[in-house]
Amino acid sequence: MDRSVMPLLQLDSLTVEYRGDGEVVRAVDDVTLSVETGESLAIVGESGSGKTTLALAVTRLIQPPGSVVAGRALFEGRDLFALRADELRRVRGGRISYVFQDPATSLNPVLTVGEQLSEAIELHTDRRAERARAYGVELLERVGIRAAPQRYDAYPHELSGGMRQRVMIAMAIATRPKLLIADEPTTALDVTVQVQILRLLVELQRDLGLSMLLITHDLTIVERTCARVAVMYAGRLVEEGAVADVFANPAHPYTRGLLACRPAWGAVGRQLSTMPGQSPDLAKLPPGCAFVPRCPLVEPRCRERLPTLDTTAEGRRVRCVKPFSKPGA
Amino acid sequence: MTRYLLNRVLGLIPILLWITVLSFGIIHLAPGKPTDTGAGFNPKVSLEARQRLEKLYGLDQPLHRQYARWLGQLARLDFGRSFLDDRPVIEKIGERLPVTLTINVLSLALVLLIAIPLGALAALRPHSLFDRATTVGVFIGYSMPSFWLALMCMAVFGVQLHWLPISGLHALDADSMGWLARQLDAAKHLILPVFVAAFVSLAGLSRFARSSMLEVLRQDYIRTARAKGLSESRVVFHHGLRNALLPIITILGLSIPDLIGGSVISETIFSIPGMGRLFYEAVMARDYPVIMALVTIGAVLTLLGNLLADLAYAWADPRIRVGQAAS
Amino acid sequence: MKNRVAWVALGTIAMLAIVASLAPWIAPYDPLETRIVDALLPPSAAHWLGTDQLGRDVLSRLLYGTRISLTIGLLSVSVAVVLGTFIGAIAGFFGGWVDSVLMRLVDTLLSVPLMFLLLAIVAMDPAQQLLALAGWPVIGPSVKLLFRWIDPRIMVLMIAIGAMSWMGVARLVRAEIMTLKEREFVLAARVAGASPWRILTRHLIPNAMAPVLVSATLGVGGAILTESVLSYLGLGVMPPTPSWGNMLNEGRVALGVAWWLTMSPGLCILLTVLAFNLAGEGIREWIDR
Repeated sequence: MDRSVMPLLQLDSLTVEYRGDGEVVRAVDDVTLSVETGESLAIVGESGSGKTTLALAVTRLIQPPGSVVAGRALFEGRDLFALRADELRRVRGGRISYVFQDPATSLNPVLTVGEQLSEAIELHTDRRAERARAYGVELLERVGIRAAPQRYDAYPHELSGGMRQRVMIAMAIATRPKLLIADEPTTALDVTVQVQILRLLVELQRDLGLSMLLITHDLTIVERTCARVAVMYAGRLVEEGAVADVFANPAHPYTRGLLACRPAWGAVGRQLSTMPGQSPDLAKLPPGCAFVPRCPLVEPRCRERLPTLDTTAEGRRVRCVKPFSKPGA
Repeated sequence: MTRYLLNRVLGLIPILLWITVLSFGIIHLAPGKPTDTGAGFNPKVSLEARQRLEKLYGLDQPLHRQYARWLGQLARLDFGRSFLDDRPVIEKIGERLPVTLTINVLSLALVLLIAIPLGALAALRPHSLFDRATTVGVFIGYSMPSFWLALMCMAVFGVQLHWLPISGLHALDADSMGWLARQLDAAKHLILPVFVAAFVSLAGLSRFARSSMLEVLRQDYIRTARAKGLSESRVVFHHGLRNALLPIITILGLSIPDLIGGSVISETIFSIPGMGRLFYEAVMARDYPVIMALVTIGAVLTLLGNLLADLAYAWADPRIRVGQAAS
Repeated sequence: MKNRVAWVALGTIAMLAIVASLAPWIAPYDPLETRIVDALLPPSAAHWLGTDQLGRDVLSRLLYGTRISLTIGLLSVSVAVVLGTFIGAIAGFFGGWVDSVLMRLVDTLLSVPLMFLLLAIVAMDPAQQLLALAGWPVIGPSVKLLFRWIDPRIMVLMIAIGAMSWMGVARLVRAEIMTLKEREFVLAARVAGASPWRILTRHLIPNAMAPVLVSATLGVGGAILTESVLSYLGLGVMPPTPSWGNMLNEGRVALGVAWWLTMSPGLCILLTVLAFNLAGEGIREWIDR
C-alpha cells in the first residue's frame, strides 16, 4: 500500500470499557476514524460522549478501571496497541503529543516551566542541558510568551491561564510530533484568550505540518480550525464528514440540534433553542439508538436495533435510519 | 517567604503567653501551697520559717504580681528548684533533654524512612495483596497500646532471646569499654525505645502517605507527565511523590506533641533517663516546679517542631516559597 | 471489603457492650476475691485465662475491666463532644474576635502533649479537689450521691480525658459550621426570622454532626488507650478495681513466667480499640458516599 495515501492515524472499531461497582460502562463503542497527514479532525460531543476517553485511548493512557477491550490504533502503519511499553513511550510525547484542557492543573506545581519543558526535550530529542534550555526558550517565544528566558524559570502558578496553555502547547510541539491531540484546549480559558490560543494552534499546524485531533464541544471553534468533523453521542460515532458540508447540511438529528443551539450573533430577542432531555446514562443505555429519548424524528425501528454507520455518496458517514430529514418535514 | 516566616513567628507569641498562663495556673491550682511538700511535712519547721519560705517564693503577693514574677523567671529560664532534691529544675531538665530529643529524632527518621515508601507503594497498587496486608498491619498498629508492644518486645528480644538490653542507656560496665564498644552499646540500648516510639506514628503516617499519594496520582499533571512519554517510575517519583510529600510534612508537624508525650511511656518502661521519665517521677512525687517547667518546655518544643514543619513546607512548595507573582 | 469489616467491628462493639453490662452475671469468679494458694496458675479448665499473683481469676477481671474501659471510653468522648461542639459552634458561627480567642485557646491546648497535660492534671489530685466540692452548700449533696455511684477517681479520669480531647471536635465543628453558615437553608431560616440560637441549634449543629460521629467513634478507641496507659502508670484506675491497664502493670513483674497475665489484657485492648477504629472508618466511608 502506498504509504503517502495511508492515513496518519487509523482507529478501527475502538472500544473502551470502564468496570466498577458491578457495572460495565462503554465509554467508547466501536469507533472507526482516520486522520490524514496534515489535516485536522474535530471530535464533537457533549460531556460524557466519550471524546476525551477516545483521545486518551489512542496512546493507551487509559488507567484502570478503564481498559481498551477491542480495536486497533494504527499510527503510521503500526498498531499502537501491539507495541512494547518502551516503544509506546517513544511514540507518546514524541510522535503524538497532547494538549489538555485545564492548564492550571495539567502542569506540575512544584516544578518550573523549564524543568517540565526540558523533560520532554531531553526525552525525545538529543538536546541536553544548555542546548535543551536554549531550545526551550525558543519554543516559549514561538508560542507567544514574552520575556521567555525569565518565564522559563518560573513556576506554573506565576503565570496566567493563557500563558500556561501556551506552555502546554510548547511542550507538545517541542518534540516535533506528527499528530497533536488537543482535548478542549480552550475551554478553561477566558474568551479573549481562547481566540489567541486557537490562532496559535492553527498557525503551528500550518508551519509545522502538524495533523490535529481537536476534541471540543464548541462548534464555533470547529468551524474556524478544522477541515473534518466527527460527532459522538453516548460513546458512538453518529456522523462524520467535511466541516462545511456537515454544518450546512447536517445528517444526524443530534448534529442538527447541536448546530441549532449555537447562539447566532446579532440575533437579539430570539429565543435560544435547546435540545430537550439530558445526556444519556452510559450505564443504562436503551437497546437501539441512544438518541431516541431526545430525537424529534423517532420511529419504532429506532428502538429495535442500533442503526449502522452508513457512508453516503459524498463520503459522509451517518448512524441514522432517516438521515438528512428535517423535523416537521 | 521571610514574610511568611515572620507571620508564623508572630502568631506564636499569643500562644506562648497562654502557655505561661497555663503552667502558672497549674501550680496554683494544685492542692496546698507550693511550699508544703518541701517544708510542710517536716514538723520541726517553725511557723516563722514557713513564713520566710513563703516570702522567698513570693507566695504572699497578689496573684498578678506572682504571674509577673513567673514571667520574669521564665525569661531567665529559671524554673525554680525541684522539691525532690533541691537542684535547679533547669539543670535536671538539661541533663535529660538531649536523651529525649535523640530518641525522638531517631524515631522520626525511622518513621519517615519506612512509612513513606510503604504508603507510596501501597498507593501504586491499590487493593492489591500488598496494599491490603499493609492496611491490616496499619490498623493493628494504630490500635495497639504502645506500652504493651514494649512489654512484648522486652519479653521476646530481651528476656527470651537475650538479643537486646531492656533498660537504661548503658550497660553496667560501660565505662570500661573502648569508645567504639561504648557507641555500639548505646546504640543497642536505643533500638527498642526508638522502635516502640516509632511504631504507632508509623501506622498513622503510612496510611496518610497512601491517601496522599492516591490523591496526587489522580491529578491532571500526572496524566500530562505520562502523555509526554515519561517512564512510570519517573512519573511516580519525580512528579508524584514530590507533591504527595507536601501534606505529609504538615501531618508530621502535627504529630510532634504525640511523640513527645509518648516518651513518657517508653522512657518509663525502658528506664531511660529522659524528659518523659522525669515528668513521670515528678508527678508521682508531686514535684510541682518540675511539672510546671516540663509542661512549658513540652509546649515550646511542640511549637518549635510545628514551626520547623511549616518552614519545611514553605520551602518545599514553590507556591509559598516564591509567592504569587503578577503575570 | 470495607463494608463487611465495618459491620464485624460494629458487631464486636455491641458484643462488648453486652459483656460489660452482664459482667456480674457471666463472670465465673469474683474479680476481687484473692486466693493466694491458687496464685499464678496457667490457663486451665477451672480458670480459662489463669490466675494472677493474688490468685484472682484473670477472665473475671477482664470481664469487669470491659466495663471500665467502655464506660470511660464512651463517657469521656461524650464530654469531649459536648464541650467541643459547643465551643466549635460558637467560634464558627460568630466568627470575628470570638473565633480568634477561642481558636487561640484550642491551639494552646493542642500544643501541649496530651500525656503531659493529663499527668499534670493528675498531679493536682483532682479527685481530692472534687471531693472537696462535696462540702459545698448547694451542689454538695448531689455530688455526694454521684460519688456513691461512680468512684470519684474514675469520674475524674473521664472528665480529664474528655476535657483534653475536645479540641479536635471543636475544630471539626467550627469548620463545618463555617461552610454551612453560607448555605441557602440558613439564609432561609434567617429570613423567616429565626433567632441565631435557634438557627445554631436546630439547623447548623445537627448538620455538622456527621464528621463528629466519625471523630467520636475513633475517639472512643483513643480514650480507651489513654485510660489504659494512665492505669498502667498507676495514675488511672487503681487496683484492686480491675482495668486492662492496671492488669498489665501488675502482670509486668511476672513477664517471663506468666505470659497470660500480659497477653490477655493487651489483646483485649487491641481488639477493642481495633473494633472502634474500624467502625469509625466504616462510618466515614459510609458518609463520604
